[in-house]
Amino acid sequence: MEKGDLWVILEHGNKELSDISKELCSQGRRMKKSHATLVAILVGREVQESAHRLGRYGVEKTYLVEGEDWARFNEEAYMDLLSNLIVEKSPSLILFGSTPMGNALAPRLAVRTRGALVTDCVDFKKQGDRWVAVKSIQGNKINAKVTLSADRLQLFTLKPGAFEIEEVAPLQPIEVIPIPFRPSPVRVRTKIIGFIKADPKSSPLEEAEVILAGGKGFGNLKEFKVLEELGDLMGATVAGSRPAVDLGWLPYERQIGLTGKKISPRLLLVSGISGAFEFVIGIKDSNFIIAINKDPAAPIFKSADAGIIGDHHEILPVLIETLKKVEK
Amino acid sequence: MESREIFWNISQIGWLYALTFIAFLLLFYGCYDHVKFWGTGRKTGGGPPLRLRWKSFLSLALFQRGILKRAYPGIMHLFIFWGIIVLFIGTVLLAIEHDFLKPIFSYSFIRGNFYKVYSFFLDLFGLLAVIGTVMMLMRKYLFPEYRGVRGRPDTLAVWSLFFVLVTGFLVESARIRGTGAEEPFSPIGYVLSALLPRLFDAESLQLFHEVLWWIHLVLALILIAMIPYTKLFHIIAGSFLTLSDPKVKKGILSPVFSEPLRLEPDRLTRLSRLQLLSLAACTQCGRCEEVCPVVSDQSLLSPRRVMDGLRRELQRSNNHLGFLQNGAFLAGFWECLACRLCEEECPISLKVAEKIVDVRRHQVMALSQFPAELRSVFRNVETFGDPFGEGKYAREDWIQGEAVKRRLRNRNGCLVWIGCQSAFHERNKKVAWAFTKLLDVLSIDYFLLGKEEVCCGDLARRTGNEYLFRDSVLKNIDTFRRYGVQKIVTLCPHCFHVMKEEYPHWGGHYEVLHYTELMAEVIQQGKVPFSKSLDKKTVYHDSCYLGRYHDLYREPRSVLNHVLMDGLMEMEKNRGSSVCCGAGGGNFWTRGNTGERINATRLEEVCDKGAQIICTSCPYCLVMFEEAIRNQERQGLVAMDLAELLDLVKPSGTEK
Repeated sequence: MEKGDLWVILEHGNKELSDISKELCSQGRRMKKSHATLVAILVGREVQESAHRLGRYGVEKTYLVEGEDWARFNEEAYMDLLSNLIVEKSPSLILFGSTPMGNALAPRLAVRTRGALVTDCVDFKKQGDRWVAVKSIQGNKINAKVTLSADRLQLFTLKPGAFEIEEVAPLQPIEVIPIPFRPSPVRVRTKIIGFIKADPKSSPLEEAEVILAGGKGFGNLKEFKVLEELGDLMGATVAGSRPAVDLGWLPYERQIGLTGKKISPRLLLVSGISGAFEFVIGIKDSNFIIAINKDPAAPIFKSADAGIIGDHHEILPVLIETLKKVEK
Repeated sequence: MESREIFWNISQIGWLYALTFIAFLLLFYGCYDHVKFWGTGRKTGGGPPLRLRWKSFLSLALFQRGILKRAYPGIMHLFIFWGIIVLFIGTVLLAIEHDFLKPIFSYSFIRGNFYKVYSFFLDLFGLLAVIGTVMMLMRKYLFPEYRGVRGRPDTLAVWSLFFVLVTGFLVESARIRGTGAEEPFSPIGYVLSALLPRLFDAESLQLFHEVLWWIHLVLALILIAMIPYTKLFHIIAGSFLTLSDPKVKKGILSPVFSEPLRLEPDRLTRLSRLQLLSLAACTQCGRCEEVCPVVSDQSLLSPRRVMDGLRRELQRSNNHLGFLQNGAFLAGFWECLACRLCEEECPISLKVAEKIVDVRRHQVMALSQFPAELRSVFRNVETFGDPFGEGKYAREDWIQGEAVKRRLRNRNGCLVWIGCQSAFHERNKKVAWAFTKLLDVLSIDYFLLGKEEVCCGDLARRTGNEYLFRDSVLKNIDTFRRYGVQKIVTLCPHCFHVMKEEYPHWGGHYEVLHYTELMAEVIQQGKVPFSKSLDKKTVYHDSCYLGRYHDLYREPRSVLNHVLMDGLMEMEKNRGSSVCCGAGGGNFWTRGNTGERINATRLEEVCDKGAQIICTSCPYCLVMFEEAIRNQERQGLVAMDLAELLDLVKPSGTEK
């Protein structure tokens, strides 16, 4: 197994490579042995173009699986494909994203191929000629180092955002090998017939990607509705501080803070909230926080990544107008 | 020689004995049921010394000190209580003489001067009992908001009592009239006998006497037989309770585990015998409900209903908490602030909050059912040692200067226990800072534990997570042992209470002071005179744990009066009747009660006084008032901790 190649299982959306795929390629390049080849597995409909662009991230060879069958991710079809491919080509190491797709595939493949798997890796350290995976456990409070036995296929899932993306220059020529594979109807028993987009208004606050939080500073329910209008335009979830909930502007399940929900969105826009400790404790884990407040001394700015000193009654309508224009 | 013809014109005395026998049979049968139920409770060993028990019995049962806290119902109950006691003793004496001494030894003692005194006292106390009963009836029918007498059995009992007393006097008067005796020492009967219609001839008088006599007897026996089946049982249960559970130290919960760690399932699923007794002793008078800050139209909690509901549900399930099914009833248990105002108000000091915690314990440890907000709080305390989940390395972030940093773990002087609130909460960090500065100015030797501190456990204990509490206690006791701690000064009254009163069970015996005690001591010694220079209108809010739990009312006031130019203003509800800020009993961490916000209501009281500073000495209260001030947008009012206030004044002579 040691002699085999290093594979990365790529993901893409709207024909664009997703960031985790670029991370996988870059990390794969850093980890591969000199004699091995960095192979990308690219599956989908009309993805040939991106297959050629992979050289930018150090990929040397791409197994391209294309066709109508692969328009949507179906884990049974992917399992059929990958397990066949692994038997045929016998790689020694495979990297997945720690994403819904990677999390669905890696454990199954590990079992099926009798491989060894480490999930949620945030770093790799070289130890002799082997790689030690660093994974975060206990709610990201502790890092654990894990080594795998070398005589097995090694599988890792990588936490998105934890690895650096490197582009290589000069651009190397890349070998694209189309794999004509049709999943066996015996193996694939499920079929995806469509997707229902989650309604940001009804999805749980803890899972929301973008959250607009408002507080007592809005003054009344009519003003608060502006936030909802903006939320509809941005596909964001509207939430609030305890006073907003106590005033009846929002149901309790939309409350952020000590006595409400602890949130971790990618983007949080806070307006009309001064930033009392009880509120701030609920937004600590947010990725990026923008605060709007009239008072430059408001404590909310201490917790924000970006702040706008101004009246949200003036700023939000401008934002809404701009978004409406962009949409047109 | 004066005496009384006991039966005068009553024949068929055999019926008297037969009916009495039946009544007492019913009484004993009912009591037997109670004892059987009481026997399902778990035993609690030990208990306070006998001297304290008798003291509590005398004060609460015989002298009715608890119920007399309120004038009208107090006097009403006192009259009925002593009236019935004296009449009962009188009847027993009569029975002893008539059925025992006379037939066997031909001896009688109720005659002559003794008879005069005897008869006079019986009449007097009978009259008091009538007045008390009339007061009770007036309350029931004229003041519908009074809800002590409710339901048919209660009404029947009061009316029976009334008629027993009235017929008693009428029977007496008829006898006096019929026998023609001159008995001015039975004043009521004597006066009534004169008032009896002149129309009565001897025969109708005898009939009148005979009918009333039997009515009097039957009603009295009905009352006796009713005792174990109605709330009249409080006469028996209440007496035993004051004897067995005097309020010596207040608000201390009993442990669930036996050591070394072992859980006896009984401790989780069953109430103790004392608690069952107190359920039986509750008369549903509703004083607790009146004062409870949580009770409102929308709230699910009422201490009165907790007692009533628990008694009924547990009787049905033979004292097994697992059979509590009513969701709304159970949700009410999570609204309790553990402020102990109900216990303080209860005429016989029934421990309501203790039972609420017992139910919470069962919910948390047996069923894992508790408010969702507590999930992360429990986990945070478990993993990081603080409810905020900031971790032990953030515990020293509040310290700003090198001077204080040097105090960390240097084992000099007493330990100043900062506590999670003051170590992590942005607002309370300022209090910790002010207090340590103050100590430096006063050159008091102290040291800090910093990252070695672990949550004191009060929050876990009051929310029923005894396992977590025990864990915190053992960790802290171990730390104290390693640092040789003997004296602890805490910033938070909650830490203060558990360390002082609840740690000793696990072998942690320390001299524990709340910092207000320390400050009062310093001022009293006069070593460091603070200047009386603060000219702000200030009210002091008594926190539950300092006040009702430990009666520390004087200390903070003496400190404040020392620095306030115009002296301290008092709120309407102060000291023992102070109202919780709304954060107690774990409610800081949950969404709390469903009704009006409690801190908002309390703040309105402050504003009515026109105060500029609301001073408190509890980090929870401080945050709650800050929040209320922010929400109500009160201008010119600030919430401050006592330590901050002192820091503002600065001891005179130390300013540089």
